[in-house]
Amino acid sequence: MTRSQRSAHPILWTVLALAVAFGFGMALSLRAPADANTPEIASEVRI
Amino acid sequence: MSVAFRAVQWNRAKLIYDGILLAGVALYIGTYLVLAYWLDSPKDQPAAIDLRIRAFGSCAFLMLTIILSIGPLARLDRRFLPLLYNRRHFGVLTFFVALAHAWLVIEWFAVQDALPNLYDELTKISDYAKFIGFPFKMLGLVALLTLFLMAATSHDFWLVFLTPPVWKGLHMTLYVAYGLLVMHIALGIMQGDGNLLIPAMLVVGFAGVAVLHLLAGWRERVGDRGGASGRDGWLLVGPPSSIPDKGARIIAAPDGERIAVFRDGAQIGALSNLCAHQNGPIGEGRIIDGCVTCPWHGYQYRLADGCAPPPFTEKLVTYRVRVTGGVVEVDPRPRPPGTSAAIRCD
Repeated sequence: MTRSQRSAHPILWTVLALAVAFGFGMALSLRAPADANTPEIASEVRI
Repeated sequence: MSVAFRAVQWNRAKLIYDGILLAGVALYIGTYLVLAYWLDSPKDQPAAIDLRIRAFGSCAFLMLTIILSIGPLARLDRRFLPLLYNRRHFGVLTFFVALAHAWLVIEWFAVQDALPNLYDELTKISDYAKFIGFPFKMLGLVALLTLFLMAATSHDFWLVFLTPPVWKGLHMTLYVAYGLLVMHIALGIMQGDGNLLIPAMLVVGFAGVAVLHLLAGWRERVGDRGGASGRDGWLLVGPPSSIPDKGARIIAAPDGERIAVFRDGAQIGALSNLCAHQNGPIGEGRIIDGCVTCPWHGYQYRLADGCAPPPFTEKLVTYRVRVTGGVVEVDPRPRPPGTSAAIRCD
């Protein structure tokens, strides 16, 4: 890797890690209770 | 090497690597499906397809996690270097596993005559303003397109055509694809399945990869602080014996670019630390058969002038070297690629 790529590397990973941690934390905390997940039609099924 | 296209050259090592990869993928998907059928056999065709979607999807996530771990692991511990040699084959196979996952999703809708629902799901603009309810399939689709771009440009033709720095920069977008993939799973299957294994897989996978990259980056940053300067701005390396025979010491120029100072018996030479092939760390390689050999893919260069031996035409930037008072010094001003610069210190 060139010097500029080596410099960009930790910055990119720090930003990515913070963004994904925030998004994942939100997704986990807002997850519906298990019994509310019964799908009724095909378009609602999450795969 | 020219920019003309040449077919991928398989050798024994690559065949073994690819054989192990294919066997690993088949074993994972086979085990997943056998266990799933054994625990709770699917009741209908869509449920059977759904199992295959999960098997291929989780396999693609694990493969991408491993691929992204190989680079920092190889920088932190040389024993992982063999995994790096054919990482591109690993990446291309990951794309095909992810493609199979996407194809099965289409099939799942098709067998229920519900393909318009898939179209509606991807094109309902108002859903893009939601967090829970966001069209997560679009995140997976963007990640898949990124994987396709990586796979399509993985051949050496594109590496030479685009030049190694541009190619490497392009392939760093894979990190963003990995982030999108994590959110594809977090907003998709994780919302509809109470199984704790899914969030656990995401946390362990993503956090592990991120920590490895940050650790490797931090360690390299320490090494890039610049070497001690001697007279006239030349960089001090140390006595010749401090450079391992048939190996190198890597020093950083004041502007941060790395210089690999090799010793082959009494001959000492300094080259750019960037291999002309993929910008691999040439200073972490060894001198084999009289040539400096890159640890990544075995590209070779003469220590005397940084030129690849005929018939190859790659050339590396060289640096002037001198020994003053028993200490090796390097001029940090680069010389044109292929310029003779090595010395003997008998």
